[in-house]
Amino acid sequence: MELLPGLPNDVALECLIRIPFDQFSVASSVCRGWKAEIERPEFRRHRKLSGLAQSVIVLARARVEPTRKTHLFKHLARLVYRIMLCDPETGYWSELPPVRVSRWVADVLSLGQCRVRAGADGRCDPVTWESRDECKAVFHRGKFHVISGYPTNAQGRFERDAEAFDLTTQRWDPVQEDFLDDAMCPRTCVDGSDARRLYMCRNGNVMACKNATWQVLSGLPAEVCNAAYVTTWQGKLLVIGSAKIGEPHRAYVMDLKNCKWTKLESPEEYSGHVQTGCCLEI
Amino acid sequence: MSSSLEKNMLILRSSDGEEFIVPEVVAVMSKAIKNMVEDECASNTIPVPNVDANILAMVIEFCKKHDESEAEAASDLKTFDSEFVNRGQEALYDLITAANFRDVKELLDALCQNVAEMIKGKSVHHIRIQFLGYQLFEILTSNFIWNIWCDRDFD
Repeated sequence: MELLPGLPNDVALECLIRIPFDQFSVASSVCRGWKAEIERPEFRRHRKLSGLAQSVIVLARARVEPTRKTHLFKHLARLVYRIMLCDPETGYWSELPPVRVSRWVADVLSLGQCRVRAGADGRCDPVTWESRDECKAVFHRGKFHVISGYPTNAQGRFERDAEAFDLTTQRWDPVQEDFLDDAMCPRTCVDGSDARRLYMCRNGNVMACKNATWQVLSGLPAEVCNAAYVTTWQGKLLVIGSAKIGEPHRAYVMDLKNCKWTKLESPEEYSGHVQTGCCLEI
Repeated sequence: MSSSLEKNMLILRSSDGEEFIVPEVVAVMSKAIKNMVEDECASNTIPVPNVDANILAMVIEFCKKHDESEAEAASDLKTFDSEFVNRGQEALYDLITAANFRDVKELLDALCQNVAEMIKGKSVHHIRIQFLGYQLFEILTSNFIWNIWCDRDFD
């Protein structure tokens, strides 16, 4: 079947891979041929190889009713989480239809627990396992890092240590006791993929970690100095946060090359608290 | 003829016999022509079958602009590209066929991008009429008949 009558299929495919991701659902309903093509894994691969893949930030974010008067009230009234999409290049925001388990997903992701502790020989020894509540798991330089957290009975007293599982040797590295400079919640810690550094927000600054030393990279803009969510993609760092508790959450993007900040404009509906998120290439 | 021709110039002959004198650097933006020149299997006159004079002139215009404006600002070139490809569907398809057949990558990219822009923001119904119009019979006989019936938003 011809994808676009009048054009060879390989050229028609070149046209289809250039459609923005938010048009995929419409394009899939056009005919069986388009649907089959768009759903093929090769279609996404082709898009990526041609440099046409779009980076999309997917967020589990609290919904804000713009009709309510004060912002604090809007947030506290009834916290409903939705999956929201953001294309940081175009400033496109959208909310996906409610998922029945979204609240549950958000809770599980935020209260992520990890039960790990390396034994003396580097293998997981069930006897010495300890739980790490609210730890942060980051995949960085071929290792699965589990950063900070606290034992359940130490409610909220974060540790400074971290441990890493080496995927090549399939063993846990020894615990790094002083991984963080401060005992603090590690939720903003992210891997910088291409720059081979870890990033984290602390005391109103963006910190970068290279060779186990944390250094201040840049100050956070005042509107996001209380960072709730951080992610990186293709040399950029996104921070979503608020000026102080109860204020609307804004988004800023920093270019990791020159540490320059740009505000990512978002409508009022997209100013709720962000529980968690990830970056997808579509 | 070839002796009077300046160095580094090529003659392209369209399917309807019209000849265009084009600098070699511009002509070899078509990979197909580049291969012919490199293999030295082309005399100074290169036939371009399947592409008529009208379309060939447009392709040459595009290649010339891209060749000249290497030093120019990328945004200027982008504006030129978007204006260049903004044509009716028939001319667009003819250009795509020519660009694909002659392997002019930059032109093909700009044209395909334009088709994607044309699809963007349209309703399913609109896309079916505009791009699959020739396949109306196929659509009607498939199970999409119900979709079309339900989807009658003539916007």
